[in-house]
Amino acid sequence: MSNGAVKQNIGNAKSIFGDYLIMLAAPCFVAFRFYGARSLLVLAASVAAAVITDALGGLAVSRKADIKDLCSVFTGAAVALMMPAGVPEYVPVFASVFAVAVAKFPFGKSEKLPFVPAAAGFAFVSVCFKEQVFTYAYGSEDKVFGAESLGSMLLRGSAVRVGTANAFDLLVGNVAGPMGTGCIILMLACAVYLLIRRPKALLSSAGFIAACAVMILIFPRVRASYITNLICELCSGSLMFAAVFLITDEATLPKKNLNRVIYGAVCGIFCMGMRYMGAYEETVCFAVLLANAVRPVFDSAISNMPKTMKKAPEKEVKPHE
Amino acid sequence: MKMISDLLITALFTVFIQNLVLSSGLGMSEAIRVSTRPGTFGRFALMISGFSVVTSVICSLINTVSGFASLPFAGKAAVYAGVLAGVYIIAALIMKIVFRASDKLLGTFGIAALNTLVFAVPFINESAAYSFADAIGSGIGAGIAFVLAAALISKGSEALERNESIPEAFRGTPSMLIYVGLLSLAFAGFADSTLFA
Amino acid sequence: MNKNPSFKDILKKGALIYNPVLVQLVGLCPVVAASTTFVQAAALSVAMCIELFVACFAASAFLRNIPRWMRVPVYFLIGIMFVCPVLYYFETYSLINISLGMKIYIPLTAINSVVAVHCEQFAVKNSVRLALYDAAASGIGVSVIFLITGAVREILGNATFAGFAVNIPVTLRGMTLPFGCLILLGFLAAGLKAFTAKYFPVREEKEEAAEATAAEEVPETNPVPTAEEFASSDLDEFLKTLGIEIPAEEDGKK
Repeated sequence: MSNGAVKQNIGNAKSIFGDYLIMLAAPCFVAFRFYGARSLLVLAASVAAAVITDALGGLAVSRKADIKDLCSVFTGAAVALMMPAGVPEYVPVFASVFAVAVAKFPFGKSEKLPFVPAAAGFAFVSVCFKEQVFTYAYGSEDKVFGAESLGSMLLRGSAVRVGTANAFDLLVGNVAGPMGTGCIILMLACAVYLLIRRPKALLSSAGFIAACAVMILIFPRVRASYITNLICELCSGSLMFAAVFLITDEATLPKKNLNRVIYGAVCGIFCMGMRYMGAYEETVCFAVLLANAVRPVFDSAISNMPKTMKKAPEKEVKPHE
Repeated sequence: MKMISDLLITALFTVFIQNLVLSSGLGMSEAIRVSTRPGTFGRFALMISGFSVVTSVICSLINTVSGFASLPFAGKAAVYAGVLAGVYIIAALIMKIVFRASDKLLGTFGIAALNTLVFAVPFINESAAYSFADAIGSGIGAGIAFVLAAALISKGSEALERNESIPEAFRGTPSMLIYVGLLSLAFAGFADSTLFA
Repeated sequence: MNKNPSFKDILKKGALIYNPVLVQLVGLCPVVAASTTFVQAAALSVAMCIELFVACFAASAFLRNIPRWMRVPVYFLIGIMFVCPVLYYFETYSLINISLGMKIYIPLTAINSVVAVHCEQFAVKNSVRLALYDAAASGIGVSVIFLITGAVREILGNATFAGFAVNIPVTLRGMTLPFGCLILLGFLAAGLKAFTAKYFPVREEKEEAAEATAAEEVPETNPVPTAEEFASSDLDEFLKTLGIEIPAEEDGKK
């Protein structure tokens, strides 16, 4: 029964979020490299809002502010890195406050949260401040397509411009987009670090990328080669960032290896489905939330499957007894 | 062929793009109540779809009657209500006479028929100018959307019950409402507007 | 439990301790979907209160001897008979400019679970006076939630209150969507829970003991059930009459 169970010791919440914070140094560097001090200001505002909200929430409920698990710090930083550098400071502040106050604090300890708080925070501001969250004009003068992001081009099916893209520019994040999530090469470096620390967590990322790749193969959004479509989709928005940082969140990951792959794949299908039919340019956070909600359904369905198969012959034996 | 594709597209739209329960709030109380009984999901899906399809088809036919379109909205609402009540009573009578269902049990049957979700379907069909096939699709989709929402809420509430670290003030209905709210936020990725905006 | 409770007792229970929306989770549809502005919330409150009064009165006065399966559509039709004229008034003579959504959600209040639950679980088993008390209490409970959510959503979502501009620096569009209202209701429910735990703790214990006694002696005077109690319906028996057997482990939680 426990053959597929994850045996590794995942450590406590503090070490998990500590690892994430070490990994976040890479996207923070990218953000500073491309957008300068402005990115640090957005980052600081977001992290401060998350930590203060968490502390106030703790004081209100249990009369002690417990922020040692670093979940709120990670949430604030992750939310900020998924936003454009030019976003007004109140937007990441609202995102962090929502993430902590609504998706973290009412559900207790960070290792038992039903939803990824950072995904909830970003989804909330996507709905509330669509214009500000998806405008990438700040610091994009020297970028490959100017202020136009890959996501908006894919949304419009703009084959001509996407087709002329240099793959290297896309992989290093030299296109307008979220301030810390564009450099795919550094995202892969983060994934390597995670592979060393928590290798089984990346099963969900693998399922996610594989599902996205299959969806792109079946339903390409622009008239270009499959490789072009694949690179553009994976490099656009915060897709790879979510694959490394949000989908691997230990609290929302299934316990079994197979279920982790399925969870990632489900998330990938939702993400691409929302990109095709949804209301926003960047949908991965909505997809993560939806996958978080769907996870217990297939988790229990798969867990109960062997039991049902074992029980079936017992029922047949009983009458003869 | 076009009729079948229209039906399927409308059903999918009703389930995912504009999930009638989670994106629009229709039948949400009933979905939360039914979510405590996972064994009944399939039957509720069938019953809600059945009532929705029959009611929406009859109302779609009434919509084509000359002069009906010029009625004030209150008049149309009264006619739709009459149709739904009629469909429920006829179905309940059949169950009572043919299958000898008890009065108490038929009251439960009413939960599936007389709720905001089923009653809203004719209004959706009218406001979206759905065709006959679309009306059937939206009826079927309503049942599936209901059960999808109930299943997601059910598993979520089980996890919340097991979570002992939830602050005392949020245990029970408060955390459940916030959970459903975040679920509804997830569906906003498909459609960021309300149904009758 | 007191067999002849005062209006104050029923009000405390029906509107506060067992608030229909925040505790029993009934009537969520119009609150979540349609109370996007204060005026709309007020209009829906009026419709809901009319519906509750009429249906509870009818249930208590005339419908006791009618089988339960026939009563539910009767509540619905009675509600429609009263709500549709209100809608017609709003539509034709009122100065309020109501949206299509409002036009649809006003008749939807007639089929609301608040009405069905209160008529079936209380009104039909009690005197007309108590039924009207309960209707008033639950009507107040629902209306207060309508008005709070309507006001908060309008201020935060549109930067207006009852149509007048409110000076706030940022508007949150998400508050006008159903998820915004559900999250707001979650926090209101948490606040109510903390409030009742602080101010009615002893009373709750007494009530539990009284209810346990009343359940044996006078089942008619039981308070309005919680969402879970209402959910435990007798569908299985009904399905058995259709010849459908349900495996024991399939039903209920695993």
